[in-house]
Amino acid sequence: MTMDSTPQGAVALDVENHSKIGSFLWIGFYTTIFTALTLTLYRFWARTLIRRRLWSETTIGGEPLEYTGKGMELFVGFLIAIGTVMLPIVVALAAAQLLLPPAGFAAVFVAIYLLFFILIGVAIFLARRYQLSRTVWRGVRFEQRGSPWMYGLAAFGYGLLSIVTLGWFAPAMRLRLERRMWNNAFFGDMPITYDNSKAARTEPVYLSYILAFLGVIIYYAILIGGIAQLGLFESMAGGGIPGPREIALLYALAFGGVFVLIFFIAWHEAVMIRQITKSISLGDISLKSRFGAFDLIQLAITNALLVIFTLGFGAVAAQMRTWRMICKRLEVAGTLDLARIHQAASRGPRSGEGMVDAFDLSGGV
Amino acid sequence: MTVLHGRYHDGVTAAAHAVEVTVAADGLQIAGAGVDVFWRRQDIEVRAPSRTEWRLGSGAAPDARLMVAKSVETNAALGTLGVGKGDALRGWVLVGGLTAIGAAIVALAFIAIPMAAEPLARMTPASVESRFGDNITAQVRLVMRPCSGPNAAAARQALAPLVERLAAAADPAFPVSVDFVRTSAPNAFALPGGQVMITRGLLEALESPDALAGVLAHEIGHVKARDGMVALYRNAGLGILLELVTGGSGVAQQMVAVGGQLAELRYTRRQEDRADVMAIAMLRQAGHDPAGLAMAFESLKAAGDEDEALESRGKRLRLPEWLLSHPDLDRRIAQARAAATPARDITLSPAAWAVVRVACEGR
Repeated sequence: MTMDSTPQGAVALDVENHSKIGSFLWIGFYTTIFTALTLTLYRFWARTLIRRRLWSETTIGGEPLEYTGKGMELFVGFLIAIGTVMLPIVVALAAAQLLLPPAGFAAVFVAIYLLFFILIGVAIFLARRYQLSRTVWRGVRFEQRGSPWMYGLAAFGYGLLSIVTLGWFAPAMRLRLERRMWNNAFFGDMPITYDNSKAARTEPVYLSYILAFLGVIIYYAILIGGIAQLGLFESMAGGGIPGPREIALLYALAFGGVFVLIFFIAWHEAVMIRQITKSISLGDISLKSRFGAFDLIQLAITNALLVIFTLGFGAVAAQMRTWRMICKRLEVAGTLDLARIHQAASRGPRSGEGMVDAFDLSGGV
Repeated sequence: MTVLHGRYHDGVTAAAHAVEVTVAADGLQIAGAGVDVFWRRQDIEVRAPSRTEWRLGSGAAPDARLMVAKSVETNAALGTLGVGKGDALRGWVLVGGLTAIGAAIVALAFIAIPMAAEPLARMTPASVESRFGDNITAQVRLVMRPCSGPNAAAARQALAPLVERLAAAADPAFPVSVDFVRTSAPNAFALPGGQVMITRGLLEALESPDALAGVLAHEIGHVKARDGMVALYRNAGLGILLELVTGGSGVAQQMVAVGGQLAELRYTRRQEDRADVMAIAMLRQAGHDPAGLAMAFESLKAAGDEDEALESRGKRLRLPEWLLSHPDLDRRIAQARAAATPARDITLSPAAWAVVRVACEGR
């Protein structure tokens, strides 16, 4: 007899996070100190420790998630990325700089630049594959299948398309990339599906995007207008350095602008979170997010204050608060026949996230 | 023997099993419907931190999990197994080891590589540095437009004899070539391979041809010492090595980056000092008064004062020398003044100086 294998004994699969701000402030404090002390080498273990904590304080239907990654795996992944990607790039650039005429150097530079943009997608995919393989629920691993190179090329192609369409393709790109990830994801041997069909896209993705787009244009208009008003273009064209007063004003302008910007883009961000969430399903389980624009605005402002007033040490706590809010707004419907879900076929990669770290893409935990 | 109650995930399916756990001296006996396993004491580890539950795994069965609610009774029973002991010590050993590795990397980046930079630069064939200089010059011209047209050409010609005299005194590995750029900040710099750049702003700020000769001698000093090449190798240590090793975007990385920049400044100040010393010798040997160098610095200082007076309304912010890429100007002025010797030869004729001054005017 198992405790809850029968579909009739429907367990509510509520997602809850019980993390406390105090403990995350403390973790953020000492991991930052250790990271500075070790020439940032501790960062792999810090990330692991924070994830272990965050995962284990998140429960689905009362059973906790577990993060099984190890700091050493991230460290090894980082060494591999340095050896196979970063060092060859640095050496190639230095050799081209020293040995080739300017035209040859320019060609090498452009080639590496393009390769780099494809590698960004590859890096994101590989990091996801590692993270899912190290996430366990009820003793069963998640798994990301699919090809990192295909993902990298798709992201690169969509990126070009977004540039050509002046950003108009960007929301479609985001949804397609999410589909690519989630449609290749598994819980144990059970496939997760992502529905990006027209019928499933019920949120006002593009309507909200217009407002966000407008907000970005206004933001840059204010910023560029402000710079022109301060006469900074003239002094920069002349090679001059702006004085402390101008720099302070510029920062004030940029920060003030971000607070205005957040009101324009919050709706779209919330819409995207809701759209992506409702597109994901696992067997009979469907998801729904009640994440709203106001949640985002409130989070952005309080987290910014939290980080500023803790001189950056509160960044970990801020990320926890975002995750907690996402969990709080998540609704799960349907039941799972848990006894029929078997362990994932693969244990996943032996090391992970090297490129994401080397490219500085990780953006926290 | 104590018997506890818990949940067991077998790691085969996602279903949970209610189990009874018997705590023995050498491990845990876990039994329930369809479950009968023994975990040896030395294999047992805490798999996830929790305030409310023991979440245990076994190294011998990596996918299986045992969950037991924390209570006085379960804590006491599992405590006898020594579960989770030694984790804190391992954490400290890790931090200590990583600190040592970090310190070794710092020593490599800040001491070994800068020390090797000069010998490496000397060993580099002049042809390689020339090629590097061509690339760098092309890249600099993307951001700083060179002054072109008849005025610039005439100025280069008028300046050529002086450049040649000074270069002959220093005998650098490369022919020295001087270009003017359309930048209003008064500045001059030497690129690898013998290319010297002088900004329009500097031509406007300098008050005499002797001062220009001082600037040229200083830059030719950099060319002679192959400082551009030295900086490339040194940056390989301070810049690329630290950039590769460090990561993340938090406060910690910022701290390391600032440390790296401050260390780099120590070396650039030393290079500047040496270029000053070489400039004084060069000027003397060519028959000019080294006081010209002092005049150049005085003009730079005046230009700086004027800028800051405009921008911060008279509140002059004086940074300590260890925060600067160049040595303190007053000290450099005093040093060049002290070296003053009567000139045997004029640097530029008034007519030639007049031509040089307007290099960047017109087209």
